[in-house]
Amino acid sequence: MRDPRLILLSTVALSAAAFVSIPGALLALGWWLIATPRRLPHDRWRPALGLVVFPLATAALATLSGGDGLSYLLRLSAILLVASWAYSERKGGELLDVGSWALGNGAGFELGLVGEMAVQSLDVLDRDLSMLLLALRQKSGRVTFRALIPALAILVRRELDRARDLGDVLAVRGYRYGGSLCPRFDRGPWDVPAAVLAVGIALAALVP
Amino acid sequence: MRVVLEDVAISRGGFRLRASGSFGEGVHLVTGPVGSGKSTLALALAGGLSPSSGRITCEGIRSRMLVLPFPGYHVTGRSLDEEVASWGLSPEPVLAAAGFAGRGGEDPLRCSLGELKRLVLSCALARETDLLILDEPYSSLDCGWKAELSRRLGERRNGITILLTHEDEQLPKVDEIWEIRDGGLAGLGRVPEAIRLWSRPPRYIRAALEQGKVPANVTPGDARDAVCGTRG
Repeated sequence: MRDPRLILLSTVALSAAAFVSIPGALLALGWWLIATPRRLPHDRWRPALGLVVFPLATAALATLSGGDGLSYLLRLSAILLVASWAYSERKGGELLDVGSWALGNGAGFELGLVGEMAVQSLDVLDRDLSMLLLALRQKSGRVTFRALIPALAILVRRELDRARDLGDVLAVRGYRYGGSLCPRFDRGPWDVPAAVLAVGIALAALVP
Repeated sequence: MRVVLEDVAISRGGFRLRASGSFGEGVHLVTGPVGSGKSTLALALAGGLSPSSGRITCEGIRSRMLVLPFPGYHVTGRSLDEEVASWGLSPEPVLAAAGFAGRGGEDPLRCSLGELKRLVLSCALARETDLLILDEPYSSLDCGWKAELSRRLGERRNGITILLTHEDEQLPKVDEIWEIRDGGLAGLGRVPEAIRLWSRPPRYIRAALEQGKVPANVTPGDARDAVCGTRG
């Protein structure tokens, strides 16, 4: 899927479907199998581990505390898989394009800009975390929780500094509110059918 | 003791770097413009990035350390004393060497970027690692500390030191020069012969070469000696 508007629509629809019921989650998983390249982040162990370990651990905790762990596991796995697909499909500037298209060059531009900056920060944090773990392993051979705390504090401070600098740059360039953007979207042949199917799944799961 | 790169290709994002060669004991200078792949090579040499093809072999190396451009990645102590101790070192001499004498109780989070860099470099140099990889060690340092770092690197004669930098004002005495050109690592050979083959030397070396003088090594002092006629 290439059109970011349809990616966003499908992600929201499938997440809602998976959240409300087990059939919705199963249908969302089916959609993921049919409509996406089914790529798990196998070359990057942290996100791949997160996709497996986090739902399993949370489901185990839910079961141990008397809840329905299996239902939770299915629904959370579906949501994480769809989110992982949407994240892997993203390209720089798309959120700004979608925001401006949906809500105009005022509030939409603002919302898109905030989204772009948030995604950029996630990328920076991901890279920083890789470097930090490498540095810790080189220094002491193993990574301990105690050693991580000051290192993470430095990363948080760095991220805050970066946000302040970015704000300063925008202010210096005269940015006040909104902008002027005429987004153009590329669309693949299966984008619309896949998005219609996703909305259909959401309706089937949400409508009693 | 040596690091051997056999037809190595390293991919990072959309970038691809080719490298072959052998780093033996001594100080190796790897230069190249910003974005040429120095950090990619440094990560691969440190084991933080696997080559997409080829092989990197470390022979006789028991310990290795990569000093990253941003010093904050290395900091794990809640005080400067604790930070130096976390490197397995005695705090007093290292803190004195880094310009922090009497400040061992201070929080590293309160240090500036340049101060943290001084601290991390002093710790890394004091640890006497077999393979020391320094990625842009001169960044964030003022002129005085750049000269001090060059002096200390020039004194390091044990093990393999690989210095990756685009520094234009200050370099230490080195044994071999390497250059990253057009996505590939090129070994220029030993100093001083390698200086003639260097396509992007620092400006003080370039000035000496333009006068037909080849410095004995790559420090500003060597270039000055060559130009003044005491050598070259």
